[in-house]
Amino acid sequence: MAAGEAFSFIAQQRIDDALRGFTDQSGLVASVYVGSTADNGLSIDAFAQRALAALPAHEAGTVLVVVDPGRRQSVVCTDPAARHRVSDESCALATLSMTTSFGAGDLVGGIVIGLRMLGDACTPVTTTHGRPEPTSSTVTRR
Amino acid sequence: MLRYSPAVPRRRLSRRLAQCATLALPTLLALALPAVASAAPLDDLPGHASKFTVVDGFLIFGVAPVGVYLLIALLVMRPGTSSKAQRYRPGRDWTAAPSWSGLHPEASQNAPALEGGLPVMDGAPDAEHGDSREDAADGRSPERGAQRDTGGARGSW
Repeated sequence: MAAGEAFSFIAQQRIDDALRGFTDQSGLVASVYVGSTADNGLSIDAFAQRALAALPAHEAGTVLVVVDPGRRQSVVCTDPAARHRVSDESCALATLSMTTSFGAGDLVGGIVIGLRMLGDACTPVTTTHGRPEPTSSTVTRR
Repeated sequence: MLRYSPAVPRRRLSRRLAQCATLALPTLLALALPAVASAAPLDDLPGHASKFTVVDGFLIFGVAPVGVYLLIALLVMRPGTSSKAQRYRPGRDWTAAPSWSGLHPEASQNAPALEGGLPVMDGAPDAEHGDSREDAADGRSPERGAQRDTGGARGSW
């Protein structure tokens, strides 16, 4: 079978909307990779680490979601800045929800749920006065 | 001795026949009236051929439906309408092209390092270290110890 597109236009729109919602809610920047990670003989973790290092640097922090449907594995990877906001336990919970959807054959739904959970679990940025710094979500949502 | 007769009683049969006739005759008449009404004016038109030839019937009842059918089929099956996206089925190979959403590594200054593989972070494992199932048991990435600055989790399905 020839390599086609991973997602339809509507599915890609859903992922983009989820990414936008995650950024609005948390202030972090997220990226999603769906595809093979075994081309260079790497493990999915090594691939995620390398891909995270290759992403453009962002002050607030970057979260990378890697999904390898062929290996049936997924990784949520946070850079040092994002790790202060999104704990590893929250990543594990999001990964669990994602893999549940992936197991049912719903790649897009799993990615959307995972990003939503990561955004919900993101702790607000605290200032020197101890007050949470308003993000775009706290400003727009009443 | 009891005898069972499956036949419909005459009284009910006659009633049913009367009902069918009552419904069928007005229906047939209603369907036939437009044909009768349309025949007279058409014959009066100058130059109108009153004969409905076999060719006319073939064109109207044969070519036209087939043409409409082919037109719809072409519209449905024309290239570009079908979704090229691959549907994921667990357990089957994933042959779709890799997809990036959001940030893309090529937008980074580290993009040249992507040639021949993604850049290696300090402490990032390679294939030799493998991805042990034991480390995945707690749902956390095994690189937590080696790559202390980064975090995350891993899962499989």
